[in-house]
Amino acid sequence: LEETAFRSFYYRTVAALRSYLRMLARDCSLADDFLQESYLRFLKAGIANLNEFQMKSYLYKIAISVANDHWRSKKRDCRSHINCAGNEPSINPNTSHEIGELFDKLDLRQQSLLWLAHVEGFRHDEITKMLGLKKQSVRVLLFRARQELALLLKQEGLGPREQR
Amino acid sequence: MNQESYQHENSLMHAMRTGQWTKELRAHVSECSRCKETEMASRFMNSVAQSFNRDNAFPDPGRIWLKSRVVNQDQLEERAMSPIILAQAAVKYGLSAMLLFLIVQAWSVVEAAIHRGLNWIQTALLASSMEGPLGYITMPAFALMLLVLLSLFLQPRLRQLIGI
Repeated sequence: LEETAFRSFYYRTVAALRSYLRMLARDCSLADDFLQESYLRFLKAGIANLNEFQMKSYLYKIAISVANDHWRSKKRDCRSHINCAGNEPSINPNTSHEIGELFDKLDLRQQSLLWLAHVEGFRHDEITKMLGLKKQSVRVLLFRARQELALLLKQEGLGPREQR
Repeated sequence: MNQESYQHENSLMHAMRTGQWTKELRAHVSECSRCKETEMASRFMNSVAQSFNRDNAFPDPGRIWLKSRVVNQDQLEERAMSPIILAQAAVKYGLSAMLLFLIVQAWSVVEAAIHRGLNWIQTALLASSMEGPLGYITMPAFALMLLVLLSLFLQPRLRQLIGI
C-alpha cells in the first residue's frame, strides 16, 4: 500500500473505526491507542489485491484482535472480551445518557454484533471472521440481539408502535 | 429466521444505509414485525454511533505511516542479521567443543603442564614463607573451570549479568 493510498483509506475509515473502538474500550485514549495499533498492524500485514470493503473488513478484524490482545495481556475478566457473552452493563461517558444506558443493557458481544451489522453494514460472513463465530450463530445471535434491543426500546416507550 | 426474511433484512439494511427505498420494501416493512425490529435497531444503532463520534481530531496518518516504515526497517535488519548471528554462535560453540575435545584427548600433557605450573607457584609461595593451598587438580575440575571461563567469554549476556 502506497502512502497516498493509505492516507486516503485512513481518512475514509478512521472516524467510524474510532467510534467503534471507543464503544469497545470505553476509554478515549485507550481507543486511540487501539486505533493506531490497528493501522500499524494493517500496514505491517502488507495486504494487496483487496477491494475497499475487504480492506475495511480486514482492518476491523485487526482492531478487534488488538482490543482482545490488550485485555488478554492485562488479564482482565472474561466479561471484557468481545467473544464472551454476559458482561455487566456499564455506562459510557461518551454516550448521551439515555441512549448509553439503554445500549449498555446489551452485552458486549451483542453491542459489537449490532454495531458491525447495522452501523458498518458488514455481511454475516465478515462478522463471522471478525468475531470468530460460526456463520449460522451470527445470524441467530444478531436476531436475538435485535429482539432484545427491540424489547428494551419498547419498555422505554420507543418501540415501533410508539414511533409510528 | 428463514431465508426470505434474511433477504428482506439485507434489502432493508441496504436501503437504510443508502436511503434508496422501493415501494415494495416500504410496504413490506410496514407489515412485517421482524423488519420493523431491524429498522428500529438500525436507527438506534446509528444514533449510538453518532454519540460516540463527537470530535474530529484524529491521529496523524503520516506518523502512523512513518512508524510502520521504522518497524518494517527494524524487522528487515533483524531478518538480515539472523543468519550472521547464527553463524557466529555456531563458530563459537564449535570452537569451544573442539578445544574441550583436544584437552580431554591430550589430558596427560595438560595435566603435566598444570602440575608443573602449580609446583612452581607452590615453590614460590613457600619461598615467601606462606602456606600454599594448592596440591593437585583433577581433570573434571579443570574442565569445569575451563567451561565456566569459556562461557563467560562466549556469552555477552552472561558477562553483562555478572558485570564483567
